[in-house]
Amino acid sequence: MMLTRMLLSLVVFIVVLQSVKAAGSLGIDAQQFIKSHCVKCHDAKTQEGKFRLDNLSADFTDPQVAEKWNEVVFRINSAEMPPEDEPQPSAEEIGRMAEYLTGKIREGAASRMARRGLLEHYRLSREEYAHTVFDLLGVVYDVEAPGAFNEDPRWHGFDRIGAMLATAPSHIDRYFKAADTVIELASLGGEPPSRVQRKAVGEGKRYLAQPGEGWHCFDVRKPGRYRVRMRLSSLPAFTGRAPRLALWHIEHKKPVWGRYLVADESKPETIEFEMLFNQGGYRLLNYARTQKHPNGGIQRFRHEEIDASRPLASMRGGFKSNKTKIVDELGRPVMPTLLIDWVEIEGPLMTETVRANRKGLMPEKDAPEEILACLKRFAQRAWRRPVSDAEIDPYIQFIAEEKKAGESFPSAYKSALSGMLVARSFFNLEEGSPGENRQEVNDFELASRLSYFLWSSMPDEELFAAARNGELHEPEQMAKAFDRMIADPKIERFLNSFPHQWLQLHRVGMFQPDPNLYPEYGPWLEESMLLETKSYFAEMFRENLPLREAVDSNWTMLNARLAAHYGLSAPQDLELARVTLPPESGRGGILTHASVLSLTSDGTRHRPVHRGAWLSEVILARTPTPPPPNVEPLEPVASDQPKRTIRAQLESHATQAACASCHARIDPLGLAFENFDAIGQWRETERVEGGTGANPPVDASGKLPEGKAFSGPAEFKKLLAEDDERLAKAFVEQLATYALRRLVTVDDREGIDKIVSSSMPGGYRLQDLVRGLVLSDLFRKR
Amino acid sequence: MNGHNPAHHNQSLKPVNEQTDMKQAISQTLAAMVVGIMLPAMCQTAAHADEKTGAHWAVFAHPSNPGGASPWVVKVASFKPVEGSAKLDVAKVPYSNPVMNRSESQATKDKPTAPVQAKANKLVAAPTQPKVINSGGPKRGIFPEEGAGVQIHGDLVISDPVNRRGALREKRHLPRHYFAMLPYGMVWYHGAPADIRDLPPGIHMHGRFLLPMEGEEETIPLTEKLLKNHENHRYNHAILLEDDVSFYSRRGRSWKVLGFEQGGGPAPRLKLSVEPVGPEIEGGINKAALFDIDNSTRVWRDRQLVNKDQIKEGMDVQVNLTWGPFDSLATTDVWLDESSLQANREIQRQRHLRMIRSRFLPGWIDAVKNNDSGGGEVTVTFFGGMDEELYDDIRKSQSLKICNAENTLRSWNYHQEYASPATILEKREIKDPPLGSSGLQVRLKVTQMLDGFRPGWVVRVKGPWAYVLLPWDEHINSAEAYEKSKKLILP
Repeated sequence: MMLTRMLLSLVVFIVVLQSVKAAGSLGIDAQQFIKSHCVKCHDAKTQEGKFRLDNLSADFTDPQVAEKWNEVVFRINSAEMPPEDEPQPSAEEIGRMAEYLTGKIREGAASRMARRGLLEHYRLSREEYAHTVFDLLGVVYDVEAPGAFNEDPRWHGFDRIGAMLATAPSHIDRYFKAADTVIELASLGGEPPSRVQRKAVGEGKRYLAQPGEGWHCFDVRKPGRYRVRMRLSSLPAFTGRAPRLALWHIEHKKPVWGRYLVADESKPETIEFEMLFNQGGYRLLNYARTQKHPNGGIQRFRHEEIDASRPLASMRGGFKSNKTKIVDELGRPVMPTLLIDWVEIEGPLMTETVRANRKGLMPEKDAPEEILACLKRFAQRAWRRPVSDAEIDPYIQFIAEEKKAGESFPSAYKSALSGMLVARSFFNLEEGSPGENRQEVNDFELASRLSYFLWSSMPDEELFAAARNGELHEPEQMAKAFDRMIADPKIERFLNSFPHQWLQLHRVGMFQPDPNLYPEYGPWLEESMLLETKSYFAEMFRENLPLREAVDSNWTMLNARLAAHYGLSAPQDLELARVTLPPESGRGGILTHASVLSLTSDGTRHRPVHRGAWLSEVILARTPTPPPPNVEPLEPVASDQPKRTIRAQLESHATQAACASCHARIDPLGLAFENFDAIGQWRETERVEGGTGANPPVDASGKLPEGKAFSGPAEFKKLLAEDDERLAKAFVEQLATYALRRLVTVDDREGIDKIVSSSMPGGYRLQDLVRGLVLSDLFRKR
Repeated sequence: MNGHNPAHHNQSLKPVNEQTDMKQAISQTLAAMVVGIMLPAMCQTAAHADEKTGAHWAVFAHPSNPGGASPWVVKVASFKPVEGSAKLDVAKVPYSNPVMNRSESQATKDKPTAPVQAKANKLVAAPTQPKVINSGGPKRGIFPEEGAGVQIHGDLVISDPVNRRGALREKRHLPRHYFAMLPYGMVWYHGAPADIRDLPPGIHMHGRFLLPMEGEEETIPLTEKLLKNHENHRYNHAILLEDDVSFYSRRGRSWKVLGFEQGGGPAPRLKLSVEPVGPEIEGGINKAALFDIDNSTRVWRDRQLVNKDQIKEGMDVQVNLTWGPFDSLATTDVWLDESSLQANREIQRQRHLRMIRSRFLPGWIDAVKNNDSGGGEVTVTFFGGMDEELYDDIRKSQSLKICNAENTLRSWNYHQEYASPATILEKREIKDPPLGSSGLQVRLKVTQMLDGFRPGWVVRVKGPWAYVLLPWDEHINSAEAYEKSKKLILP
């Protein structure tokens, strides 16, 4: 018996040794720690969270291995592991283990760097391509047009990650087509004439448009800058709701311009503005949910020519009484109503900046030196780096061959320019040099990195000049460049694009809310939601506000539509404005924005687990483990059963231990926002379809993984905001992902920590963090 | 035409202040008839007067009164007469049985009917005729008082089923009585709810007519000349139309067969001699009568067609009638037993169900609450006179569709597509609803507030019924069709 026991112990010992064989090169203490606290759940049999430590390699030069060990350090440090109900290591043991693993990770850093390619290519996203050709040649190229570029693949919301943007032959085809179009649109032969198109509804007529309806007012054949003038009346509904006017791109199915307007039918207003236009048809639209029948054939909301002399109040019933009501029984417009008289468009208009960009692009004469000079000048700007004569030679040869084949010089020259726009140096950001293992980007690469980070486009002449002088990498130069760039209107591109990608706002409206459940939802509300979040971020950036206000504040950015959605009073001029929130609003901070609250919904109901996963991934930069396959969905409440909240259903759903451990970390982050429905409206009870009895009250209380309890969204946000260092680290990680166009690795951790530390004195202010990143070593690191 | 025989016309339709002269004429005519063919029949009537009141003929139930006793026995006209027009008291005008009240010799003096028809056509088409404003009728959204209007009967000679209009010919020499159905106007045929389209041309109908509803004053054009003929032409909007079998049987009335009689004269016809069994009915034939019968008459027994020789003396029968030569009444159908009538009734009921389920249940809007995003709430009261099964379909539903309709009950193109989805917020049952109302009221949440959703306007509501597409010419699909639908146009 004794012998058997000894044998058994020996077998167990061997098995345990085997189980940590992968960690064989770890120190004895580390092996012991893992054996005592980790392997029980993270072995081949249990694989808690689909994470195994029994066979995890100790080769820290492997980036993936290092990343996994880094995860172990995080879990131990944050006291998430071992779980509460398991024997706990001492603080000293934890410290020793974390320090040991961090050291090993750091040791492997140099080897991991060395494994990276000598030359990295980061293809431009289509948004960046459009900005680049505009800043290069003043050309508006419609990257979203049918047959242009596909939507870029995203990684956790980011659409500029190099690893995701592979270049396929189909891309090259499209780049060829785009390049020809861009050069053609650059009108190198001379500026196109500007002309005025005017479309009037008709003598004695006006065009009536109810919400969602509009009037095809003009077509733009040559994209560019245009001036638009229009005369119209805009009547609020009997409730006071004002119409939102929008100029709608018919092919893209989205608005390109908009504003609120109130103008009596007897006093129409003339509006004028200038902006860039893509090619296509445009409708002047009463911007709201369209009432078009799903089959596209029947429109119920009114859009028709009416007699201008007939007062609107008299339009009741009669012919077309099967269409929607124009005025109520008292003669007041039932809905916000537009009455359009005429629209005029003038252009394309030329600006001095565009003229300057095109100057010297076309040789005055067919002379070799001049051709070389022109091509080189263009290539250096297009490829964003110094270009040698040897690199230009093939293009000169090409021109000669084209001419020999019978092409005219201008045509051959333009083809050469097109060729430069399909060179990989144009549509990629190139970092590194063949034959040289550089750890840092050079000044030209830095200039591009900076300009694509803040402007989503190529560097301007000043940045090129700083790079040419070899000064840009100097901190003072970078600081100067940063200040100048954030003062430039092009910073709007960052203020629009970064929050969109970081917060995964592309998911807003991805699953359109069911119109039967949420009839008030429409495109203008959806756009207003996005505007709130992006302008909130822009406001934080411009005012350099502490990052904690991203999650908890007493203000937001509202327009009339969103104010109505939140049950708050509208800003005076109805347009987007910063407003102070009353405490009882239950809002404040991005987490209570309707955009964020709705992007995780499925169109019919809110999804607390998805909300939690989003918050973990986006705000805390901790991507939860994906759910196992074939998880049974929640069943609707049976008609003979009492109504139950989603939360109650979830609690009975996650009964498996393997599921429960993950959900314990994710769910509280989402359940804290139970007071908000699928489109972000405040609620006290949850509407449950089916079932018996009254709608149940919501419960937004919970406990964070580290044990702190909260009773609702307000307390939860406070808890989150208290740990602003954690927020800052997560934010900088997301910012670096966007700026460096790659996933942040364990090797970037130290750089991120430094950036965060440097902005601590001001309370982790937003602009300080962005500046900190730009001026950091991490930003210059390849 | 009236000039040929004014006395005949006035017997039934002359206003009451002219009744003295008329009564004299009637007395003279009756005296002649009593001596002749009617005397034996009248004697029989007297003999059977105390026996029974429609023993084996079921009094069919109106939805609002399932017990069977007639819930809507037509009463004296209580509608206020138009200012300046003669006072009417229709109940005092004796029912004019052409057989009983006219002699064959008088009838033969009448001219052919063609010129009358020409005049009637002119009535509608000629724009030069001075317009008559015919106002003072029921208001939109309010059902008329009980007993309002006048009772008129005649053969249905013009029928516009799409617009629910038509004309009754009271006598062969009189101008037609053109009419439109009120939106809540009901039609009964074979004892079941029906539509104008279910009525065969020529069928003899009993109608209750009101002045035009507010806004419908010019739907049926009137002229001074026509009104001179009779003020009753003002009453040209029907709230109720019934064929004879519906009219009599639902009031507990049947006919006892007295036998066959061979008529004489220039057009000798076989006649079915009958006497009424059951209560006296206002506006009905309350004395023994002779109805033409021949091989075109459908005789029903045991749910089958049988020869007329199956009609035996002493039988209780129900009949439907049509015009017969010289303004006699001829039988189209004779039912010898209840089961046969029940079979016909069920066929008509099913036809009615199919009709309403494809065209939707009509009603009108009592109240509206607009919202500023295009939807809102509407409260609808359904019109009466439909089969109870249809109301039950609505009662059991949560989701409906609602489209607007004109007073003709015509909906607009693709009524299904242009209908707004609606959910029921509240259902109410109104006790003892007025004639025209079902008593069922619903408050609906709609996603599309259509222009026609206004208090007092007509709507049609789709219950849980199959998708259908109506023929193009049945719904209103253009401005031209809309304009055309507003006035009576002869085919």
